[in-house]
Amino acid sequence: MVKLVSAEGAVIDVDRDIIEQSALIRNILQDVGDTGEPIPVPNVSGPILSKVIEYCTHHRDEPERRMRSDTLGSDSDRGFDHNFCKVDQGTLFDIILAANFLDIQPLLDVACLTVAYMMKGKSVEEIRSTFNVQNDFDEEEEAKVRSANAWCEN
Amino acid sequence: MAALYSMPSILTTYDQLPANMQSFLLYQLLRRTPRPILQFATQTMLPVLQRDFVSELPVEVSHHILKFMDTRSLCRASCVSRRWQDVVNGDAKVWRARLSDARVLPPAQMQCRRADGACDGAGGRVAAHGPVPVPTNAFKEEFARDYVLDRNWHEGKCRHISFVSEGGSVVTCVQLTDDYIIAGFDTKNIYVYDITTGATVRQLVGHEGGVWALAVVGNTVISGSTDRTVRIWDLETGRCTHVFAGHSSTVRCLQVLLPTDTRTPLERARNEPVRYEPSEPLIVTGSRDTTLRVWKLPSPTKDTPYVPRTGAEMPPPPRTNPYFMRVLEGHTDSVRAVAGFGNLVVSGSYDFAIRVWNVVTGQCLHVLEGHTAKVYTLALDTNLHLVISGSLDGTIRVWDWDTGACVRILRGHLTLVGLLALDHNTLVSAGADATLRVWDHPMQQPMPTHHTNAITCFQHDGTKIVSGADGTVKLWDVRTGAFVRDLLSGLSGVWQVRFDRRRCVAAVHRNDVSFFEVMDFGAEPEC
Repeated sequence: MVKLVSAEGAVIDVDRDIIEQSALIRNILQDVGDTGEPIPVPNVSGPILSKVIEYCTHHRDEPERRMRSDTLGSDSDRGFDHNFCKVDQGTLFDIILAANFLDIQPLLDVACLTVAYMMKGKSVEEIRSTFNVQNDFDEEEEAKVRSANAWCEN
Repeated sequence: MAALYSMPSILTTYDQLPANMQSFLLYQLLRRTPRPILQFATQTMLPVLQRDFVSELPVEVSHHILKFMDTRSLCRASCVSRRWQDVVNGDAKVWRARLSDARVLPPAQMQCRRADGACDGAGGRVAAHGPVPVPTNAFKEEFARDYVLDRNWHEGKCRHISFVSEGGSVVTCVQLTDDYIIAGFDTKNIYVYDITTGATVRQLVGHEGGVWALAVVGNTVISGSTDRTVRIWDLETGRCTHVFAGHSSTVRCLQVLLPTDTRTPLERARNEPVRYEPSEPLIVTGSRDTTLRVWKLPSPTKDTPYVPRTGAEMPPPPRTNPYFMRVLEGHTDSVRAVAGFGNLVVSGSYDFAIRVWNVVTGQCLHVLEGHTAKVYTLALDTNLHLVISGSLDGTIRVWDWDTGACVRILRGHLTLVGLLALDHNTLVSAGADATLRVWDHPMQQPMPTHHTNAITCFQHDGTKIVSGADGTVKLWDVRTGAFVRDLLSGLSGVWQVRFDRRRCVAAVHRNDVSFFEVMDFGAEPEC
């Protein structure tokens, strides 16, 4: 059992084989040894840490898992990953940050892929409204940028 | 009214509660809230929960998201805002990775043509006070060019010109430069055509027999003929500056050896010193007289011309030719194919054998025996030090050029394997059995693709194959093995096909007349 301390100071217990999917924690455990001391994870809030542990628990028996960009949704397991990422943007954002910080590559991949899918096939205006991004180009700039990217259209 | 006055204290109470009690209170409030007000609440909440994944994440994480995007979405993303544009275009990595994937090249080998170095680093973006800060990214520009070109190839969008072959009706060899098509004929002609207009620019006059081997290096044209000579021409003036005699029969194949860094990838990785071989540019010619001859490659403009009298009389003794280096003797029948890399020359012969030579010492290092019929074609894998040979016996053999061992036999073709080409680790073979085969390298299962007639010529660049067979010129996708489209049809024969990134040139036969067809996929289409 490994003890993690979330940003709020809450202590969460997790099986070592589960949390070792995080390269960061795995390295800490290898370097320091399993002293039983709680490991602080100051960048990750309790609810997000729980989500991450839920993800790692589901995949605990799949060491060396590697995701490829073209395989999302192709089998039931991808279905889990896909559903896992069906959350509000704020949660997804925090999951990406946590996966990046904890260095859990498959989770980072699937979360980033989910964001990429949110843009797929959308117009520029639709992308802006999807992520609430302000258009800060003036009219002339925007025309210029659009024409510089016109080659990908049609 | 009293309820209104108590509002401030409700808010104060809420603010003072711990987070979990705030959640509880909100939950209780929401439970009591009718649908229209809930909808109002949602509209208020959603924009707050929206996040800008491209601007707000660490940039390396944003780039990771971009990796998963298709090209069109990525371009649109670069139009979203200044910050997005900067994240998408400001870093060379994003587009370099995409370009290297499209070109089947490792990123380290990706070079961009721009000399100003804007391809690395943040592309010269002007700070925010500049009027129109469009980040430039040379890799993106390069990718865009490829993307549009590729689409034009796939959709057949091109500027197409066609002109009657003035040089003769049997076209034996075709080479392209940026400006010219250089074609050899079974008459004694070599013609130079303007690749844009099709106009005959010049004729290279001098051979007294059919031209069967042709190479172009910069401004130098090298040709070999049934008249037994090798000739060197100045492409810009059309002048023949050097004539090499010595072969006693047709010169059937030739290979130019330019000084090349011959280190293996492993040696490069170990930073071993650069090794350029050969020390000067050479030509190796293979002949029906069973020998190969090695010559220094002259420069038509810098070196003294050497044009001894030739013709019906005996050619001058080769030893007086300052460009002649040596004869490679050992084959017992015609030399049909020659390939080279550095100081190494490999020859394939109608005597069924392949010989590996050191061109500097003249030593025959290995005789590769195993084919049970004539050898017609060769390819080299310069990274793995492999010789690949195609034969009339229907097999392709793969040999280790360091040991001379046959390491693999590729079976599948039913008869003559007349054409082989290795590019970007993909081997393509074509046979008289009317199939083109794509072999992953190192050799896996082939993906046979089909023409309807014996394949006369093809070229491939790691992504596409253009092949010619009776009736059609076809375009194939190397990576999937799929047929893409007919580039030309309704022909009675295809002599040769050649393409570069933009243009495809086919020498074809139609209604008893030979034509050159030039398709420029980078021009504004007229068709």
